[in-house]
Amino acid sequence: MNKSVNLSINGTRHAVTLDDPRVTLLDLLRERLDLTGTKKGCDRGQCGACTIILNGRRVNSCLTLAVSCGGAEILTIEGLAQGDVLHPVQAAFIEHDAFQCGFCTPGQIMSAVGLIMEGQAGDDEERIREGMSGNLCRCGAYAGITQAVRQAQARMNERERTGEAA
Amino acid sequence: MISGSFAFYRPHTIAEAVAMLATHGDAARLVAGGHSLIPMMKLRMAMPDHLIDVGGIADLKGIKRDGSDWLIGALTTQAELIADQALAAGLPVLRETALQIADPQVRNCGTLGGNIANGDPGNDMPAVMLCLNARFEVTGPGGKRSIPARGFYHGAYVTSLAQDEIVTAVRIAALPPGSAAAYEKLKRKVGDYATAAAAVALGLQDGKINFCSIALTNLAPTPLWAEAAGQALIGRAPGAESFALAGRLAEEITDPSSDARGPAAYRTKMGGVMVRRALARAALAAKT
Amino acid sequence: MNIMNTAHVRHGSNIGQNLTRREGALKVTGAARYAADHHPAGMLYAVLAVSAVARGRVTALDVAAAKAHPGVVDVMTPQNAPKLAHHPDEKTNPFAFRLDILQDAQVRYANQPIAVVIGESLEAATEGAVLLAPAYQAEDVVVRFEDGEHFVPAAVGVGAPAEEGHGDVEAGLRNAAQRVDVTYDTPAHYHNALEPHAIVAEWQGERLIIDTPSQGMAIAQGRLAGLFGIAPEDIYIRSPYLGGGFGGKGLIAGPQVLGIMAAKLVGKPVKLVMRREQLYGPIGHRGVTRQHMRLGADTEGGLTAIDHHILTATSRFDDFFEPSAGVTHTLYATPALLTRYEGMRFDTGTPLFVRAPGEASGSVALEGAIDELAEACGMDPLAFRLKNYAETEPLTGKPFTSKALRACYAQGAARFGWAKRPLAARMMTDAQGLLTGWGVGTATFPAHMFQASARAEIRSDGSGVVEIGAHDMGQGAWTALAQIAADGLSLDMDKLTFRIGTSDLPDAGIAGGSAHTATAGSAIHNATGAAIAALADIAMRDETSPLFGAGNAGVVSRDGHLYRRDDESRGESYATILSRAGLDSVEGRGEGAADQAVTENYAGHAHGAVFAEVKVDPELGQVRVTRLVGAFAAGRVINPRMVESQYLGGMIWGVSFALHEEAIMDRRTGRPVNGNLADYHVPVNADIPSVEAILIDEQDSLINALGIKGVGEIGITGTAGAIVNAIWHATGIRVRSMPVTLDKLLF
Repeated sequence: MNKSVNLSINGTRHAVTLDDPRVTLLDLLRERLDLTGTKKGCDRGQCGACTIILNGRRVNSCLTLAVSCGGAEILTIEGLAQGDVLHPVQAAFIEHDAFQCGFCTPGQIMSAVGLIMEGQAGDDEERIREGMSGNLCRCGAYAGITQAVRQAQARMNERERTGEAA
Repeated sequence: MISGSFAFYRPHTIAEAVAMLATHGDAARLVAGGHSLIPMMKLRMAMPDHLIDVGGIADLKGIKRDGSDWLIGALTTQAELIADQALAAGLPVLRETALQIADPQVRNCGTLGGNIANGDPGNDMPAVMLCLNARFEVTGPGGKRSIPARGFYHGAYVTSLAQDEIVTAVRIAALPPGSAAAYEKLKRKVGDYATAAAAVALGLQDGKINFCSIALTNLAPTPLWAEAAGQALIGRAPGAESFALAGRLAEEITDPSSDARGPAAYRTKMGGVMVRRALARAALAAKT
Repeated sequence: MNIMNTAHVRHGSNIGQNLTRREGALKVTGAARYAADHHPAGMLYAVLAVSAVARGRVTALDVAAAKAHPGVVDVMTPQNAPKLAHHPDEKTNPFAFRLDILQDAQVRYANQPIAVVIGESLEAATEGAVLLAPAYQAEDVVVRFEDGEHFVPAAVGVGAPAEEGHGDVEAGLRNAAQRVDVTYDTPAHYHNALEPHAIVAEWQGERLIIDTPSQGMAIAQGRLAGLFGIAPEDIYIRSPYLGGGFGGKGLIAGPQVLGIMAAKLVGKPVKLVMRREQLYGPIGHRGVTRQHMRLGADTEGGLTAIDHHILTATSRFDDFFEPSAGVTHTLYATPALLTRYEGMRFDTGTPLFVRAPGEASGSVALEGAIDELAEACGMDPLAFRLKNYAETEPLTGKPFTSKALRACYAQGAARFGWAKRPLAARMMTDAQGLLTGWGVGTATFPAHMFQASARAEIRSDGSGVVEIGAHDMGQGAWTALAQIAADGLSLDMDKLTFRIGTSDLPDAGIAGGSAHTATAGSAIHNATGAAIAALADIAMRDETSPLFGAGNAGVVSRDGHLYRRDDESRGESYATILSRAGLDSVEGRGEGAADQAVTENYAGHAHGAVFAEVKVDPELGQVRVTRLVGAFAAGRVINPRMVESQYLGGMIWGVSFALHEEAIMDRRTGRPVNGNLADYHVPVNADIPSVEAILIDEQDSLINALGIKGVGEIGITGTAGAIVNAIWHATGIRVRSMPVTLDKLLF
């Protein structure tokens, strides 16, 4: 039973025909659309490596069925930079060495973008750490991640923070 | 991991969803946020043939006032509970509890309806619902009914909800003036289920406790309403002695299992500590 | 920075610079392709079916049902698996650990692969694996020390003696004024790199192309060549980025071999990615230990004896014994020292290397026991450690190549504020009523070197190329090794083409043992030196060159030019030299390895001191590490930013060791109880409020030409002990069973 799903990914419209209702949004991105920046670390919503922005909210794409995403607006790590110009969160991650192996990094960055959009953490380090705790980093780059989020948030204007610019 | 296969539906009305449940019987499951069901499906611990995604049903959404009651749509996510300013001002314990659930990504998907309806004793909202004497608004083939939370939970994953019914909203009466609620949760780390947790509501009049309700999370196969523990405080002055009494009485009704979160005796004792701490915090809030 | 070379002086400005990661932009945009991100044309998906029992036999697999599922292409079982050139249990070398790759129906541990289903989609292959519905004949299992026989192993780690020491330990203990006699337990740990093991394998005739994360491509080539009966050079491995290694990707694991076999079976490229829960079995783990520590001290607080007895478990079918005694061999001066091992066989996968293998587990026990002895002596734990400071390596008596541990203690203590620490336990409470404690632990890790080769080239356009099959698992090889390479050729980084991460490049040795920068860096240093020497040779023999006849005086290289060492006003550019000689380029090759004369006569170790503050809720037993300060000395720092990140990451592993991580096996079934990332705890961001690392200056002219030790693993050591000791200081309770969970502290 094929299902057709229209969705927008990084501003590009995709009409996807799903031959299988079991396909998760994560597997759709990675295995069928060659958007492999989003990573699979656990496939059970426990690590955050697959975090993307779905209709303005950060979610685990491994627990999202692609067939549920009709009409959805999706932002992945590939859609964050404007050409060669990195998003402020991306730039801050490099500057603060907020990653080592880089595998959790796309999820961390999308989660940070979502956290900033939510506007709940302010500049409070404790709340940023809590707000970034859905993303595991086994290399232990947490100190850099926290500082990168703070710096990026401080450098972003209101339009960027709310995600209108993304 | 990939789930077993299923037919997928995305109804737009409650009536459509109820009709689908009626048609497919036990082979159908509702999915909202999916953060409980989809992992279970991937592990093949749930294998529905028919999956009904209620995410497109507008009537299940929204946080409203109905007279003095709060009426919260079942599809309201934890993140929406956290972000709602009116709710944060009027019934802050829901925001406080939602912030203790899982992690931010999960809270963006997980719904109030899913949290209360799936019957997992580790879920946090059921104890809050018992504590606040909430009612669950339910629609089935025969129409609507309203089930008191305090009669809803019968065992792990066993509730009063019939197979062909949908929880559409939660109704919570506003707390009387001079009262406040609090949720205290001990967890091993961010994202974990409770080792022990307590929801309390407490009212003060003339320096005495005139109303008290206590409920517990993850200390038995179901959430527990510690009725006697709450009743014992009526007429007493708030303070360490009263709260310790309530904690002891609450401990008596627990029946936790020994697991990775600790031995049963430890978890029971922690239940008492959570009750005491939640009461102390609620009493402070009720005074101000 | 000047780096001495036998004949020439080379100048570069890259080493020591705080460069950001050169591959950083690729990683933050999602453009860096990890193994599982590859998708060659015609690729199929392979999914493992793994055993639900820990010991026994697979008696039935419903292959027909799996094959009947739409989209399933084939099912690989012991019946149809491609034949291998030799049995995977054959121990062809000390690093050839036994693999389970469908050689028979036997099951040796839970999550062992028992079949592979190949399908057109991930969904179809996954469904096929479920449909196999295996049946088993299960046997009783042993996964606890209480349940089986102990024996003395022939060797521990990779070929280390099971008993070492000197002096009369019993006499030392007998004559001691104070003694401790305590047992520390450490559980099994799984690497849990965020990237699960993955492989995309494609056969092109007899040639094999694979994308797979590897910390040791040359070793993997050798192993695969042996198994498949082909030449190592016919195996091409791409591993430019590892999504974390931590030792788990040091050796090729069974599931990766199965991906290659599946590709052979179906004659198409195949991708096999392990599921998170499948990682708790076939890829190794940190072995469980029970460490009995007996220590004695005289009336002045001087050690009289250390007896460190280690009970540890390997698998039922192979030998790897967690070598926990290393720290005791190197840290504290004592007249009598004895380290001994006993082993057991568990029905688990074979334990292997996990970040700081041996040192991590041994450090907790030693640092805990030392702290207990300091308490018994009524001494400040830092003063006690200084009292027993080892001026030479305790086990061997060899001098250290360098040892700036005193500076680590002093600067760490100053930064932390250690001087204000009350001696007794349970003296500090914060404003919220939380018990507060401070603890210290000494960190140490050996400065290993393996074998590596590198190739360097100087081109007639004045640019340089350096090639080495090095591995970047997050430690920063792309950046730090390039800094060494640029300096080696005296070129700016933007004039350098630097290649790592594929197996057709010169063998860089294994990225493990905290040895990669030292080993690969030395090879690069020597290769670039050879290229400069070759270029100088051309110039010095050319009558028209200003360098003609520089001869024994040698040359100086700086910024793409060579100058006479005895007259630096005379020189010319690399491009000029090569152009005039009519050459496109000049090449140099070099090796990196330990200097045997140094290793025979000296002990080489990195050191550090870690200070921890914990706060404990006295009602809940909840522990929070509120502050961590580590000061480390590890020779020359190539890139401070990346070195700091290694220390911080290691220290967070130490927090995890002390408070979070534990693999729990069901004692009846032998299955992992918590084989997922919700139940197997590792720290999240909120668990790490404040952690800082101080880089202590240490010059080491002996360890290697660049003076590099290693930084990848030392951070774990010391840290877990510091935390456990801080918990005692907060509460008065010694918890000797890791991790320190809430219920163990209920008091």
